[in-house]
Amino acid sequence: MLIEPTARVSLADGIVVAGGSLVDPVRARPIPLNATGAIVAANADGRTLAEVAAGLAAATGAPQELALSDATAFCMELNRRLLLNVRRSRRHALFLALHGLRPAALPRRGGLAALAGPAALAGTIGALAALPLAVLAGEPLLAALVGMALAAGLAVHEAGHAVALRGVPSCLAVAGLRVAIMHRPLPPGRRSAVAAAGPAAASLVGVLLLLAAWLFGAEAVAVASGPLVAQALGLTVLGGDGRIACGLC
Amino acid sequence: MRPLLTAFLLGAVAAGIVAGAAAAALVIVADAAGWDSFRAAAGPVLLLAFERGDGATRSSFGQGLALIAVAGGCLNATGAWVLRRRRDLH
Repeated sequence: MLIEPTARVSLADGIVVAGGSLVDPVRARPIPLNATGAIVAANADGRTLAEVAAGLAAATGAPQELALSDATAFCMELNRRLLLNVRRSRRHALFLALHGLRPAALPRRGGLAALAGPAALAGTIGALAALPLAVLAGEPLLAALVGMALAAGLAVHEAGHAVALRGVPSCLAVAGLRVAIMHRPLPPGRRSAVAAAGPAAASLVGVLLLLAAWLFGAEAVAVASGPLVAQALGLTVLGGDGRIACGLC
Repeated sequence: MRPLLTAFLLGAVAAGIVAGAAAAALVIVADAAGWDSFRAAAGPVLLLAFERGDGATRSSFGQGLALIAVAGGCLNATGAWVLRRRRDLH
């Protein structure tokens, strides 16, 4: 089971139940619900999955076990479609960790604030990876700067997409270190521009950082600008954004 | 034709930015760390030259950086052509 009964489920921001359908401002069409789905969606307001299943059992007279199974399957499907967020209990996560298990990262939909987790994780991994080299070079501070540049690069990249998407209903989806932006269909030219805006924004910030390093003679800052400047490679077919920008997807 | 041209331009810009920034970062580090004069070139094509004189440094970027940008554009356009062809075959 991917979602445990103690996990709290809630419809993602902006998603509402109206007229027997789920209405998502990012998707053009409402998603019709059957009776069971409507009950589950109406109860997905931060309650635990077990509570949602209890509500379903009470409303339909179905056995508790069947209601839990149905509610779980439906919530998993809604989560897969980025319509519902799942918050796992810390106690359950600790229990799994003590047994050497790590649950698969569930996608989570939100605004730019949802980037905080992946940015912090990317920054920490980057800093740890750069630490041996930084120590060898006698500049331990460099590792922290590289970590910060990686974290900032992720945030600036997504902010670039968001700015290019102004006026278009969109949302951010995060699963572990993977980040994506979902938006309404766009004309090909605008779609290419939106895709290119992410890597372009991050590399521009990297170039500005490099300029500042040159002006102030800060060699560590010059090296730390590397991860940001390297995002320019995201404009090529090596990356998903580049493929979209080149009209390949 | 237009997607290939777009791919060429984006590849050239990406390679140009990365190569130029790498060269600039090398110069900043060389200047701050007190490195001796050096020259980075591929045969006769100069990429970067750093000279340290009497209390002053001088750096020059060669045409090799422009060639790297053009090569990046060609590689990206080729990659786009291969991917497009593969997609059309499927």
